Amino acid sequence: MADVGYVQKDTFLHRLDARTKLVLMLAILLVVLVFTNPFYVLAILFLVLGAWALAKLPLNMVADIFKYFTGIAVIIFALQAFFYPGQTNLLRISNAIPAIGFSGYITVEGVMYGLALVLRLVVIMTVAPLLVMTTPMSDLMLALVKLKIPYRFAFILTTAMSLFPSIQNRAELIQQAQLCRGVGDFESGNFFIRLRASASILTPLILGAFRDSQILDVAMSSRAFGAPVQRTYLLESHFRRADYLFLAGCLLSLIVAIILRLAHFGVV
Amino acid sequence: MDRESMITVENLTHVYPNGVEALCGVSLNVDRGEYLAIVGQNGSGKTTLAKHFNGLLRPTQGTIKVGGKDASKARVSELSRIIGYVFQNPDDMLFCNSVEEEIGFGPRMIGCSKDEIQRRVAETIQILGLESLQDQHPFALSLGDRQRLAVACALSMQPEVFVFDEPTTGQDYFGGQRIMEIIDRLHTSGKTIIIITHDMQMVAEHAQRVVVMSGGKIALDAPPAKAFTQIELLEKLSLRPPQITRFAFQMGWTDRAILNIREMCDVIRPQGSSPIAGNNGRGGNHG
Ligand SMILES: Nc1ncnc2c1ncn2[C@@H]1O[C@H](COP(=O)(O)OP(=O)(O)O)[C@@H](O)[C@H]1O
Ligand SMILES: [Mg+2]
Repeated sequence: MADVGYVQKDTFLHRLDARTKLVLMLAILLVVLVFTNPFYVLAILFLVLGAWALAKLPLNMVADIFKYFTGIAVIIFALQAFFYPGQTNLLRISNAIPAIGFSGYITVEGVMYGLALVLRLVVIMTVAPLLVMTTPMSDLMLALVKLKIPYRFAFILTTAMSLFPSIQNRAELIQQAQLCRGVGDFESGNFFIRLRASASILTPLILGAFRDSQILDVAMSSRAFGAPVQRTYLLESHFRRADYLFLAGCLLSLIVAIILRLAHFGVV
Repeated sequence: MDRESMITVENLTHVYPNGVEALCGVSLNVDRGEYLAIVGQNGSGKTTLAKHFNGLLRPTQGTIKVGGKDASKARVSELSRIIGYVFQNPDDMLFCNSVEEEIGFGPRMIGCSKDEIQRRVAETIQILGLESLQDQHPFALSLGDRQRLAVACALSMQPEVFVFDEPTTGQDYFGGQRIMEIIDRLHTSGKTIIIITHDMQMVAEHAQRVVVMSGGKIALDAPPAKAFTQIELLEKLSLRPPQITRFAFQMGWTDRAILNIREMCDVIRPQGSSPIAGNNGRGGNHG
């Protein structure tokens, strides 16, 4: 899958403070969890994609995400469609099979709920790059610390977040190196041969990860990680007017969403 | 002179999935037997370009031919018989249980016979002086030895072209020299050499042609003696020619860049009779 690390660009979203973007992300996630009507969720998805365009993130990456997600999405959707206990029958499949909790009908509610669930997952997956791809890791770390999250946890969190892309990069490099050495299996049409080839990259990958973590350990120790003093920071982050306005907007939307929900809008 | 094109790149553009345009409209021709250095700042697209030569990356736009084949379509395993690629980090290349097995891996993959594999392994071990290490586990070797082993792995495939991605980074002076000696020998034996590097000293001493990359484009393509006269352009791209070259430039000998101590001696020797001294003498008069 595509690389999801920070890409330097100069857009509105890139300039926002990392804290603002964190709040934005949480707000979107909350709103998406509040509504169970797929059309509401779809509207939010379009908002998120609009933000992608605003941040000049490559939209074809969304296509990538869809591609990898299709299989799981179909399964999730089918499970809901078949097993959600709805009232409005849409389609008769068979007689009821009580043993597995199947009523024999696909219901409107099941379809709607399944759609909403899938769309929610898509929103969750497309919202993360809005933060991660527009914010340098160091800024993100600082944001977490400013939000009074202990430095130790902030460090673990950001390291874990950067670990995934770095392992992915390394895996790709190793695969490329093996291709260069005549391993044709990655290009085989046979799924199982490809799978076996993928397993062969594990040795260098794991050894490399161990080596990396040892180096990280030394680097951290030599920079007095965990020293019992009040540390200071090289970088500083400052809220600008855009940040305040944006935050206010987020909170307002969140409140509106909750009121709507309490008035039974956006539920199936 | 008989020139046979080995690699032909035309108007190559590469956009990574995350939207980074790493190459924008690169055209380049490499003949058989050339000794080429690709230099440029970090992120200028050197590695991206080189990975197109053996199909590890495919063009977003443009064409690339390797040994007459269309490299944007051919399989990597097929191209790896023509292009040997030595990765920047040897650890990404090594995964077998002994040095010997590691060197024999490539030939085995491309379907060499048992005898042929043994012959190639023995020959490669001898060329790189790895005799004393042949039963060791690759991960137990020092960085310098692992780097030599990575070269050995490419060598045993007997390709026509070698691509070295920053072969001397992280090596001490003698380790670097040792690798450069091996590369020079490969070139003498008729192979085409492409090295990616930051080391201008190395370019001056070894390469016959230097391609300077900047922002995904080729900024300069000339023999080192000519390329290194463009001091201002190079400085703008954070590249510094060797000290002796800059010294000569400051002295006003700007016709042709001085690349090494020997050339400098020819210039400053009182009754210089060599053609270089003559040239630069004239250059001084003009300036
Ligand atoms: N796998 C990748 N995914 C996304 N962007 C990449 C990838 N590899 C390199 N890049 C980007 O492409 C540009 C050129 O990189 P590269 O060819 O590695 O440069 P160089 O080898 O000259 O240092 C850089 O901006 C780099 O961040
Ligand atoms: Mg590189």
